[in-house]
Amino acid sequence: MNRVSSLAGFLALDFLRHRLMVFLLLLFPLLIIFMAVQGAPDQPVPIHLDGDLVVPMPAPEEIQVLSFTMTAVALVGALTGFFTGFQLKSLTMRLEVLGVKPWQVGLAQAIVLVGVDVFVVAFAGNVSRFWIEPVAPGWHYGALLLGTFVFTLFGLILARVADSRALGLNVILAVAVLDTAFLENPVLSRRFTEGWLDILPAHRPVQLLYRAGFTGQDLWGVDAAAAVLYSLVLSGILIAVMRIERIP
Amino acid sequence: MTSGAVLRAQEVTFGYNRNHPILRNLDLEVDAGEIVGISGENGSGKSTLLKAIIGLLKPQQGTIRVRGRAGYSPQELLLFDHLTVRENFRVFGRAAGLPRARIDHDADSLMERLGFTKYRETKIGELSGGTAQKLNFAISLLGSPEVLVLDEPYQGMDHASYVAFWEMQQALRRHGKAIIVVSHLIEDEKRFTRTLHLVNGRLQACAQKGCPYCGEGPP
Amino acid sequence: MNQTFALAHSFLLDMLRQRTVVFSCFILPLVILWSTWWVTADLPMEFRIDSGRIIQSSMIDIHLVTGALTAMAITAGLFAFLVTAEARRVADPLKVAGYSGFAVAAGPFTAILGVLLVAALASFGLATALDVPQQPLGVLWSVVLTTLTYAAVGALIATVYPRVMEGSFIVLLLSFIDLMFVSNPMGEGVYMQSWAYWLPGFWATQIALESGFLATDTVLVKATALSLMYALALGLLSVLLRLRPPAFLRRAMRAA
Repeated sequence: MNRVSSLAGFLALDFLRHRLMVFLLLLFPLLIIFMAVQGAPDQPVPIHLDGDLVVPMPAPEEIQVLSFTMTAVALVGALTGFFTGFQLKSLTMRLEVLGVKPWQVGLAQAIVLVGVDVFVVAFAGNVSRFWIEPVAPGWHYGALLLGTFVFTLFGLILARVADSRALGLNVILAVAVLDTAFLENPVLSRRFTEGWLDILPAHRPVQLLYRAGFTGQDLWGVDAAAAVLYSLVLSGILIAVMRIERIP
Repeated sequence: MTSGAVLRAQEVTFGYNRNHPILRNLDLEVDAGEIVGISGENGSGKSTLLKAIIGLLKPQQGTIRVRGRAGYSPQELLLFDHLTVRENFRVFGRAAGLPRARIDHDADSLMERLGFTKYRETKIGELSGGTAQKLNFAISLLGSPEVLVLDEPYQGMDHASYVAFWEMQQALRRHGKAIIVVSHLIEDEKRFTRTLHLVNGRLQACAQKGCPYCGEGPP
Repeated sequence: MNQTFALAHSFLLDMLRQRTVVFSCFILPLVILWSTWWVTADLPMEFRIDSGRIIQSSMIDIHLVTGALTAMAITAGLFAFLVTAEARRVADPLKVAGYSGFAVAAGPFTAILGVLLVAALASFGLATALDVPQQPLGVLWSVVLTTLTYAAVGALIATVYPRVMEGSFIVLLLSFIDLMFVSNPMGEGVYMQSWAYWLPGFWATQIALESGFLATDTVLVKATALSLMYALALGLLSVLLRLRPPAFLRRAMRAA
C-alpha cells in the first residue's frame, strides 16, 4: 500500500500542476452554473420523472441549475478521467518494469480521481444551493457523485481507445453536454420522457437529482441502484479494454 | 542458463500480428560484465526485442529468463511532465520499492555524473530534450539493476554527457552488470564487448570485414 | 501562386487524413446541428433583435438556426486553429526548403478558406432541409459570416497559443458560450446586453434571426459591415502578432 499511496500522491501532484486544472475544477463549474441561471426561460414546465412521478411547475431556474450542475460535474469527471488515463497509458509501462502491478497503478489513479470527483461535487453542489434548496440534500450530493463517477469511468475508457487528446476532449464535450444539459433537461428537451434515454450515462443520476431536489420521494429506489450498476458495467468494460490492450 | 549468464532468450518468436512475426526463433545469451550492442534497420524489431526482454511483451513462443532486476531506458521519454526532476526520481524510485533517502542519494549521484544537477527542481516540460533524455536514462539505474536494457539512451545528449554515459557503462560492467544497448552509432561498436545485428527477426554476430550491417561496405 | 496552391494542397491532405480533424471539425458540428433540431422542446419564444423588431417562433426553429451557426463556428474555429498551429510549426523548414514567405502564409489560408466554404454550404443545406427559413440567402450569408469570423478567431488563438488540446478547448467553449447562449435569445439573462455585442458571433446571429423568421431585412447591411470588420480586425491582429510579437507574447509563445 506504500507504493500505491506514494504513487497516488505523485499522480495528484502532476495532475494539479497542469495549467488547466484550476480552471477545470473551480472556474468551469461556476461558468456553467452561471450560464444555467442566465439562460433559464420564464416559462415553468412540469417534470415527468420515471415511474409516473410528476413535479408540478418547479421554477425554471431551479431546473436549469440542477441540470447544468450535473453537466459541470460530469464534464469535470470525464475530462479528469480522460487526461489522467491518457497520460498513464504510456507511463504504466515504465512503472510495471520497476515492479508496480497494474492493479496498483489503477488503485492509485482511482484514489486521485475519487478525490477530484468528491471535491468538484462538493464545490458545485454547494454553489447550486444558492439557487435551489433540495428537499433531500444528502441525495442531492449523492446523485451528483453518481453522475460524476459514471462520466469519470467514461473518460477512462475513452483514454484507452482515443489516439489523441484533442479527439477525446471533443467526444467528451459532445457526449456530456448533449446528454446532461440537453437530452436530460425537461425545459430544453422534448425527448425527456422517452424510454431509450435509459441507456445514456446521465439518465439515472439526473432522475435521482430531480427527485432529491423537488420531491424527496423514491430515493432508495431504482435510480440509485441502476446508476451503481451502470458504473459497475463501465468498470467491467474498462478492465476488458485494458486486458485487450495487453494482448499483442 | 550457463553460470555467468544473467539473460537468456531461447527460440523467441513474437509479432503484433501473429501471422507476421517480428522476432523469429531468436536466441540471445548475455553474461555478467558484458556490454552487448544491438543494431538493425529501422523497423527491424529492436525496440520490440528490448520490450520482450524486459517483460512488457510476452513471446508467442520461446522463453526469456533474466536473473535479478532489470532496468529499462525506453526510446521515448516516459516521464511525468509536471513533476520536477527530483520528483520524477522519487516517483519511479518509490515504484521500485526504494526508501526515500536512498532515492535522493542515488539521484544526486546520477545527476552529478551526467551533469544536470542544476535542473533538480525544474519540471520536465521545461527541460531541453537532451536533459530530459538524461533523466530518462538515469531512472533506469535506480535500484542498481543487474541487467540494463537501453534503447538509444543518449539521443540528444551533449558530448560531455555522452562520454560520461560510457564511463558509467564501463564502471557498471566492472561491477558485473550486463548491459544491452540499441544503438545506430558506428563509433559505439568499439565500446561493446559484442555487437549483434537484428536481421529478419534473428540476431547475428558481425562476422567479417565488409559486413554490411557494420557499415563497412555495401550489402 | 503555384507554391501557394501546392502548399494548400499539402496542408489539406495532412489535415483531412487525421481522424481528430475530421471528427471535430465536420462530424461533431453536424451532430450538434441535427440534435438541436431533433431534441429541442417545442415551446413558444418571443424576443427582439437589435433593430427593435419582435420575433415569435418555436424554440425548435430558433435553436435550429443558432445551431447551424454554432456548428459552423466550431468547424471554422477548430479547423483554422489546427491549420494555423500546424503552419506555425512548419513555417521555418518550408522557407528553408525554398517556399516564399507569401506562399507559406497564403497556402494554409487558402486551404482553410476552401474547406470552410464547402462546410458552410453543407451546414446551411442541412439546416434548410430541416426547416426552410423566410430568407434563405440571408441565413446562408449569416453562416458565411460566422465562418469567416470564427476562422479568424481560430487563427488568432493558434498564433498566440498553439497547443492543440487547450486551444481546441478554448475554441469550443467560446463558440458554445457565444452562439448557443449569449448571442442566442435562449440566453434570456444575457441576450442583447451591451457587452454581448462584442462577441464574434453576435452580428451574424442577428442576420440569421431576422432572415430566418422575418420576410424583410433591416439589420443586414449594418450587421454585415460590423461582422466583416470584426473578422478583418482579428485576422490582421493575427498577422501582426505573428510578424511582430511583443515581448510578453514571445515568452508565452515559447512556453506554449
